[in-house]
Amino acid sequence: MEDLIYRVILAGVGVAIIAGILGCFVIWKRMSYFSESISHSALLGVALGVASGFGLQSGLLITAVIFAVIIAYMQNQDYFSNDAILGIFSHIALSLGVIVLSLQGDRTDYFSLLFGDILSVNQGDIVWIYAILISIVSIMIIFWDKLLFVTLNACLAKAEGIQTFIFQTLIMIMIAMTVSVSVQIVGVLLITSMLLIPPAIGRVFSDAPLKMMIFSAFFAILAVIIGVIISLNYDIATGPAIVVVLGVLFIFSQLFRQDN
Amino acid sequence: MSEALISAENIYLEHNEKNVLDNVSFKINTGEFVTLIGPNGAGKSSLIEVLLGLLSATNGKVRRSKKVVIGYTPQNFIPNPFIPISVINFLKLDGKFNQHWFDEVIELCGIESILHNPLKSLSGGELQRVLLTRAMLKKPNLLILDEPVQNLDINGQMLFYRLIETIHETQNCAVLMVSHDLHHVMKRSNKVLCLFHHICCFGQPDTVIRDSQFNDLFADQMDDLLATYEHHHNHCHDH
Repeated sequence: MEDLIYRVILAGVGVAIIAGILGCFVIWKRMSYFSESISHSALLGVALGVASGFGLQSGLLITAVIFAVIIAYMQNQDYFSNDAILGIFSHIALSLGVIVLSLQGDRTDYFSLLFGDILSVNQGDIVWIYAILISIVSIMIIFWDKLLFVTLNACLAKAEGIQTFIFQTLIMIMIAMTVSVSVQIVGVLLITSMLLIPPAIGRVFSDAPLKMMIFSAFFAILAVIIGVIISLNYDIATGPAIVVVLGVLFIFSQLFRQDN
Repeated sequence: MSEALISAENIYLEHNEKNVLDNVSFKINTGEFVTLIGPNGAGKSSLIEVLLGLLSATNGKVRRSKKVVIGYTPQNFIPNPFIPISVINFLKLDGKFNQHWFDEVIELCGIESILHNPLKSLSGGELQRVLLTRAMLKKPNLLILDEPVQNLDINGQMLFYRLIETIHETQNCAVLMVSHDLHHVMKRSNKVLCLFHHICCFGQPDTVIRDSQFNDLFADQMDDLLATYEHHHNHCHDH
């Protein structure tokens, strides 16, 4: 039991840090609908991962990244509105996922896919989560200025010689990576709140982008730990437990709002 | 004769089967002050984008001198309001410069007092000065300013023009400024480039102001401006 709690907390904290970091970009770039669309591809990812034998995590990651790149490419063409592109791909992904899952003929546990099942986390998942965490933190350290500049004002960044399409796509790919590791913890339906609420709380206490990111990761960790404890003690799904904790923190945070 | 900092050679730009730029050629030499004028939709911003390499011309060539360092301020810059970032952090974002130059430019542009304010809280005039500071931090020898005073009140415009003038005089920096304001254009430019897809005229202000194409384009504003000039339409110009 003790081993299980360590494992669950370790996985939860890893995912919380990843979501806390990328969540800032989701808020800054107004990409909540994008993360929502990518999370809908998660069902397909799970199905393909299991069917192909690559495993759940690789299936999730590859599917999410492929969808992110297709969406980035379509958006760059300026032919359809982002809104339409996201809506189209989101539901194609969801439908494909349900079809492939049902073709496999097994009794898929939709509830844990949709709302998270942190108890199913194993050693391999933890290694995977931390590998992704290290990649994302490395990318952030190396390209921080450029990623931030592109987000602040893409036109000026482009005029100053930054390859905006590359960095914007990189942000989308990192969000896809985040979604793929969050499925097990909070579930397909609640991933977006994991990305949105921690930075929204962090925003209240921050006057600089990096500060916001650190606060965001901090509140995500806090909510995951409290949420996991509640979830284990009362035998309720982890995702909703975490999101409710985040919700309470968010409401309290609004009391401290200043104009910064 | 020194080498031009930047020169456009027979630039054509097509967009949706329309000629946005039609055989545009000119050059800017060290220390010149060139004002680019033309009515809305004349292709001014497109020309700037071609010069900066953000748009590729359908035909023609932009030559940049090896020595040229361009500082650029865009039209309608709106910083993302959701990112909490101070002016100083914005200025230091992705920039390489020493502290001494940084302090000097801050003083030159007069933004000491707003350095720690949130970027999104700035007024139009403050934001333009911050953008100009950012452009100056690169130690440019060519400043390209796309309608910098567009959203400023008269007083703000005067102050900003004066600042540009100081920079032009003290920093040995050529300026290419897109402008709508003919009064100021005439007063401080070495050269005026009047664009309506093609170059209507390019030269010193007193030459340009007598040009009939120029007069046709700016008919509304001319009565006022030309009080002291005699001019005659010598041909009709069909735009």
